[in-house]
Amino acid sequence: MLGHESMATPADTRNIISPTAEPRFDLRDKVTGQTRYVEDLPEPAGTAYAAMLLSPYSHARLLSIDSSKAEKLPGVVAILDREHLDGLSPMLHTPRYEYMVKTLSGPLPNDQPLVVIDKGRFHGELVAAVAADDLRTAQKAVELIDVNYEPLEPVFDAAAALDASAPILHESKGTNLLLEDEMEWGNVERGLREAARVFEETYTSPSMFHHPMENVGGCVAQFLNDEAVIWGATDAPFRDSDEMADFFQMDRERMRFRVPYIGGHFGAKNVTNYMLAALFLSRKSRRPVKIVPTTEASFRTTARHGMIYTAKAGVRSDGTLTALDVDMIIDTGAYTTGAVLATHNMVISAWGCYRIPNVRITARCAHTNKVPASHTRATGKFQTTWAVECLIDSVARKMGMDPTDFRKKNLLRRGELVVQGAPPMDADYLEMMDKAAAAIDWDGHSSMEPQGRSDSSSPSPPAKGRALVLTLRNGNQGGGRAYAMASVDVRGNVKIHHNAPDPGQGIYNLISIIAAKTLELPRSQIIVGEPDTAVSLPFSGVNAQRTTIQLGNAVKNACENLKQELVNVACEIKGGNPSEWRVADARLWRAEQSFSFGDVAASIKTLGDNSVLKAMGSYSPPSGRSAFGGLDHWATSAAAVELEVDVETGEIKILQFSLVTDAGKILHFNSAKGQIEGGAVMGFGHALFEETVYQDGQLLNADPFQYRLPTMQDIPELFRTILLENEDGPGPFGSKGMSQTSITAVAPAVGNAIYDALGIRIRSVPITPEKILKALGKF
Amino acid sequence: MAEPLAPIATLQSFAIEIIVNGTPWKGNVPAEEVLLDFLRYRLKLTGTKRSCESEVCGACTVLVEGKPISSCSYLAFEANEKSVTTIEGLASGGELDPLQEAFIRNLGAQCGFCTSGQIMAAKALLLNNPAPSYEQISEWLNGNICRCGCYPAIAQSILEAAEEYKNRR
Amino acid sequence: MLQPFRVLAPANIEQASTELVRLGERATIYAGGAELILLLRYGMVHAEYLINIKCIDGLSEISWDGQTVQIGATVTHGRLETDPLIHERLPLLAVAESQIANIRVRNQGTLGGNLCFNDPHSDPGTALLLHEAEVILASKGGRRRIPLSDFFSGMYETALEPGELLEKVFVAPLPIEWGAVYLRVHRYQRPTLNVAVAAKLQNGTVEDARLAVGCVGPKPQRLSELEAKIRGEKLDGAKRICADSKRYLKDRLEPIDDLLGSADYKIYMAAVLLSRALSQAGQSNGKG
Repeated sequence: MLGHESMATPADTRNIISPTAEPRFDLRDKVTGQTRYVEDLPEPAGTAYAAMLLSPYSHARLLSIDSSKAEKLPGVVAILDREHLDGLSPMLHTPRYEYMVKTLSGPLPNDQPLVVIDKGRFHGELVAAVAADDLRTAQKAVELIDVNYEPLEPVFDAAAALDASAPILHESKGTNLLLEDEMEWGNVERGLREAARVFEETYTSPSMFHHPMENVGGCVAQFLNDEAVIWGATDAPFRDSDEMADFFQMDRERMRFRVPYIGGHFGAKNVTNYMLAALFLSRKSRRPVKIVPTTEASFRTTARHGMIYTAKAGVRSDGTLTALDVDMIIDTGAYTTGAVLATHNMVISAWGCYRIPNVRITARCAHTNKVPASHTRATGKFQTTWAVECLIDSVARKMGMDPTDFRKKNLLRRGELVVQGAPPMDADYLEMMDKAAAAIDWDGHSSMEPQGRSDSSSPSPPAKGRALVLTLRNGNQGGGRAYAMASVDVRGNVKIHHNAPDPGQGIYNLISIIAAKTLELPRSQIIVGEPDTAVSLPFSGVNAQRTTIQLGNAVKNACENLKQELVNVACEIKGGNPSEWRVADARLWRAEQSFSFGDVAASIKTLGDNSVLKAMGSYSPPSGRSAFGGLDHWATSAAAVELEVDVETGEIKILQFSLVTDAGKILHFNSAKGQIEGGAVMGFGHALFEETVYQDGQLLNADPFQYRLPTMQDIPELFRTILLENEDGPGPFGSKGMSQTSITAVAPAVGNAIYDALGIRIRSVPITPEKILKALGKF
Repeated sequence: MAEPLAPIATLQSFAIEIIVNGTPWKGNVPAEEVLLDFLRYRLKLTGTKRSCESEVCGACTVLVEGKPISSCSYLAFEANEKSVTTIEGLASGGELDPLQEAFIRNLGAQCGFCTSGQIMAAKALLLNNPAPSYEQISEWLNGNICRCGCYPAIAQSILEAAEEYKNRR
Repeated sequence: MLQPFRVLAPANIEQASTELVRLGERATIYAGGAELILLLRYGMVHAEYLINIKCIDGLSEISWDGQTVQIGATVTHGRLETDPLIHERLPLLAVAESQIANIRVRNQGTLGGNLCFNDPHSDPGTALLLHEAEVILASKGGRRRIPLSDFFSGMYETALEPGELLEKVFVAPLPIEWGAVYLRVHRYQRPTLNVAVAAKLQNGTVEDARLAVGCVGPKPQRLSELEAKIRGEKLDGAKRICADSKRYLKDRLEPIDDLLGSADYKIYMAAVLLSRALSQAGQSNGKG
């Protein structure tokens, strides 16, 4: 084996929910090319194809747009631009997370239009869309659209955007400051005074792109009989179908969203302008409309927020933290989109997993002329964890303390208050730290003297460094009630109906496991449906680590209710009262009699051979419209890395990496391991390579040629994942959310290990050889 | 279904014969049609995916005469009288290739979108080098991007498949 | 989606050349298409006619005439990576070829296509420059043979006249006792910078050396002035001279800041890699 490990504690004899040898059932189709994503779906008769005109400027007034030549091109069936809105109000609805930010008294105004109306505010903003009989005609038509822009000065830096002299993106707002948020407890001024030493440091993280392999925004939209059906990718079909219906001022039940398998998500896929454009064009042309976005267009749909994190940390001489004062500037790009969520997430994670009696967090979220940023795997938490874990390491070192000892002194222990309104700490960091370090043959302690620099004329071996970091994230948050339905047919097969798409985590497999376990049926008898909002089972979405707990519990509940329903029917048809019946081994028992599920379903006889028994299930997370509303557990991890740096070239080679997470209960080992490893791979990408570059008024690197994604060669062979099981989570069988516990760990681990190796502190990701060489004073 | 390539606008077509997954296909293709569109739209083999369309990501990898090619940027007519193998052609008569079995066992795929490309590239590797080391695997596959980050599982799958091929010989 | 085009399949150079002249800007040479298809897709090149030169005899051969290796324009990178003749006579080229982009691009792309496109961020040109390679440019009017260094006239520009196509590359192996090394900085699909160094060491002294740096600036460069400086130096001294040559490198190479790195970084790394390559070339002395 390549060095992968799982450890189940306290003992491996614990109940295994799903044997590792039992593969995820969706894999067979995936390895044979049978799985269908949006572009693969058979096209309805008469499908037209849409091409899009995107703004070539980061900031420009749209002086005029004339699509008359495009309209006249034979084969063109519909046009969308600001002159062709057919009375539709073009403003998209800003996502409704405002309850998370206490400074907001109401929803933020809708500020993003479907197509550019007065000004284009980011490179790639949708200006027009054309549907035609074939794609080449559509593309040709787009070329025939006459557009005149007046380029304006763009601003790409969030701090500069807040300056009085900056170009303003939204004149009606009069400022680029979109919103502010804050949190505090104790008295941070006093805390800093009580400190023996105060350190002020700044860390930054740039905008990035999720880059799922299946491009963002692909869809097939069809209007028929005043109803719409759209096939597309999203993590939350209900949220999005409601938004699309509202946009077209339609009855919500007339907007049907069907979601096939998704080729990667990471937060990127929800309602896009492209989907709304497809619906618009379909309604106008009375033809189904298909959009297949290019990678360049995909890059221009969404982004990860940029962040500048400045903190003052106060420490006593014994290494106890007394105060932390954090100010963040968050770059949300041209429109509101994910600003509230990201700001909120950053505020509630800005102090890490440490015990700090006096804390003040302030955040300002600013508009810049960049692609609007939204949900991105560990939204906001990737950025704050990078900052906090580097800060802690740096403060420890400056205090002359070993970073691991410093962490142990200040970290939150099981049962301790994390913050008012949130659950207490429910994991053991000490145990995780020890295991993470041991997994890379280390005791966690660092030499206080970095290996040292060397001048370039002498041959020098690479400098080695190690680091240990901790991460904390809310386990899952909010979302309202989640629903699922279980039905059993005369053959005894149980189908689980739900609206949780599967972007790759193995959601359907998870549902199947939970159903099988709850019903005590073999997996082969469980059928998992695909999301379809026509089957009205609301669920807020496969994101924020919530699916295992919320949907998982809803499925469990539905299956338990199904068992109850089977008992009820058995009583009606076969007699007895419910207490006399029990369910075991996929049968119902009363005294010596037993019946299969299929028999009981068949005994209804109302629908002939198609008799089906159904039961609904639901689950509500803890309520609370506050900063920590709905939070019921913590997602925690510890990670260790060993790397070496070539001191002449600055090139980094990762030698070993380990990650320990408190998973509660593993429902499917390979899926859990896959999420941890996959998150870490993306973490390596963010740590070492990724940023979207804006320069000379343009987004320069919106393609995989120039946006560097991690490849297999960037990942160390020695990569250990350790999953702890204490069965104490709120999810089914004691599980916890953990899919975002690895992505946040990598960057600070690498940054701190570089300090360990070379004594230099890199304060921005991505950590590049050039930055290392500059810090070493090489040029 | 609307033909994505309008035949009227095409300037030249070629009469070609291609062996796709062992089955001959004869017909006309426009000069400018790329192999990816040929496979997906004409043959309805949708297992090969479109992603970057710039030869970087590997999602469109197919084998032409056993060699991996970016089908997004390879003109279909060039495959005339050549054999093309796609993901759909790997299993033989319901029996999966050891690579496919290993991928299933190790969860070498999560969202699955890059998987066809990964497996075809891996197949070409094992045809070229039956006992690759981890380093050789990662070098050969450095042009097949997996954003879900399944690299450790993919590498493990290839090592196991190589072992399985050896046992079968 | 590519715009429609016609494909011509000339049987020989003369026909290809005639068509090139006749069609002018409406036509472009097409070999592997690894670069061309992308340019067509992104609208950077518009061509009504692709002149497919893969059917022309002799353009896809690798041969040895006793003094030079002759590589036809349509030989793929993949072939050059693995061909026994290339490994025997031009191992440095085999190394450079093996690192181009990814395995798929190497199977499809051709050496001729690469040289004619003359992307500054490219692998083979630097290695070939080190070998003082020459190219045969052919047209219906005849053939001419020019040094590769003259062929590379500027960024994305070559010395091809209208109606001319690149037919072959002539590469003379390095003398037997020389060690040769190819190093590069590689982060994206195309190299950030590369160096090709060949040196002959005798008793720890650099008797002779060739140094080439590519990707920094519009085209790869032989650093003849630096070569002159290190001739006769002990290896350590030669390495130090290379490491300290930043100002010279800056003047010669004209670096720019771009996505791949700042100008300062590239010059610094060029100096580092030259020094390292010299060291490694010294160690592999006599192994070619």
